Amino acid sequence: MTEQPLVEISALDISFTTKSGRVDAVRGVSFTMGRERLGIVGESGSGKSLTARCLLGILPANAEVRSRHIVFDGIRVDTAGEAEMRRLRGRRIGMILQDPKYSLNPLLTVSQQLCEMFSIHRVGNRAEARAKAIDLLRAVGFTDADRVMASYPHELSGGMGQRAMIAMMLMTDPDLIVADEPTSALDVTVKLKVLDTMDRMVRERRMGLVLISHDLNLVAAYCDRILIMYRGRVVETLNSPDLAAARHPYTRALVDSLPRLDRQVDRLKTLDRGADWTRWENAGA
Amino acid sequence: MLEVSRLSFSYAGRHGPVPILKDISFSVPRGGAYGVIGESGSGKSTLLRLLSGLARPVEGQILVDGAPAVRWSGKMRRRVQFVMQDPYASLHPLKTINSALGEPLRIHGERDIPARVEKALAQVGLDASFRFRFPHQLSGGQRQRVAIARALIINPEIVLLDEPTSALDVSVQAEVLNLLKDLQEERQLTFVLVSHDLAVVAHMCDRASVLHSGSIVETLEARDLRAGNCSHPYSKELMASARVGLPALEVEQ
Repeated sequence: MTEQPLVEISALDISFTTKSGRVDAVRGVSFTMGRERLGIVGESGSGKSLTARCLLGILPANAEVRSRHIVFDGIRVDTAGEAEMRRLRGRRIGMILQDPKYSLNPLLTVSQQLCEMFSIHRVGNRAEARAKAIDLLRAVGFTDADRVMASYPHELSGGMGQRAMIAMMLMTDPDLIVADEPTSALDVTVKLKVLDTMDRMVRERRMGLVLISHDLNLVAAYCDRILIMYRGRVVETLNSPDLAAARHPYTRALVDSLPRLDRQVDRLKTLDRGADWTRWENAGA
Repeated sequence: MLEVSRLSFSYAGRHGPVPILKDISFSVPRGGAYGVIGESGSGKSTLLRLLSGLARPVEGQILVDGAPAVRWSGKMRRRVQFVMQDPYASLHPLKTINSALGEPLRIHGERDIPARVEKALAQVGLDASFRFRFPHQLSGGQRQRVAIARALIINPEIVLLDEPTSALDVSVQAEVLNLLKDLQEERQLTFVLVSHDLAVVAHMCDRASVLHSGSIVETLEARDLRAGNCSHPYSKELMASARVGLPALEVEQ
């Protein structure tokens, strides 16, 4: 691909000052992505969500951010003002969060929430908004789109809510979707349906996807490339099919610590947390 | 060791009883581990509530070592202990680890409390310095170790595990599962493990039942779980979800 990268993050540091001192949550993260499906995997506290959130400028107010640059499709996100960010957020970069119970507005119908995306970003008139909303709800697998349009979030199940959320994010035809643990609040059998829907949408519309998850299997199945984060750093970058050949000891430990259906072991491998991985840091970046 | 026969449970609803569990039967030998696989609303948590005496069955009975568990006396309760899903919620935030672990001992009128608390901590791999800390000063994995220590401190024979690792990171999950397996072997504990994660169940259990809308739809041996040998459509669906990404993780031996 010769087009310019969709996202370019260079030397990103995010830190917080707390009562007990400074916490460096993200340290020197750099990566570039095109219109591809990029997975960010790490355990809690690895900085994966913060890294993705800084693209939308929705970090907690007390976060201190430094970077060489953060660019989204030629736009300097790191120096952009609030007005410019508002034109990006929701319009060109969509975000899907963990639990639709919290990310959908409980007081508005699905129809109101989907159409609001259109009016806020002045994409089209009300009739167009409604037509597009129904189209998208059908596209994400609702056979009774009219009924869903009139429903409130509490009338939908978790999986339905998350699919409605995906439809909502697609209303403005964004270029990038950031999905932060989009299925961890869902039941296992529903999880796959939601991921398949999201995957189909992203491929059909040639969007970029940043999928954040702690689940290595899931990311390997739904992404082209994986960044492994540990303690605020990217320790390894791999193409999904090469996961089995991962070299970094942390990635290896993650792969080996999972109980596996297809392999019987007596004891699971655990992480040697005292190991000196500093020399490996950023090896894959 | 544990025998459950024809267990049913329902809540009283506005329009008559709402059935939650229907005709559940299984048995677990001493030192065995039995898995219950199910999603939200399947009734798996209710099943554990019945097994621990927190709720009474409408029909059917629970036999512990051949004796029906009818009246949940203190004696019965000390034989059956419970480890809950979320260690952030199951430990009292204002009580030290020392008082959390000492409480079951005090309730059951035991002696040598400080020494036994220290011993219980050591068994789950935590040193004595943890005694006077509060839950918020511990990581998730450490808290779950404390919850396990609390369940084991009065030497139960049956331990009920409700999604014991689903709130933990995978590397911490591995540590906790290893710990549970070691303790089980050491003390010949009988486990009932509830989980939606087939790989965890296959790793820990000898047999498992798939629970769907309050009924057992299928019971599988661990090797069938591994091989994906199941016949019920719902079990097949669970199996498909559990196998996502497996080929990509194939490690060349």
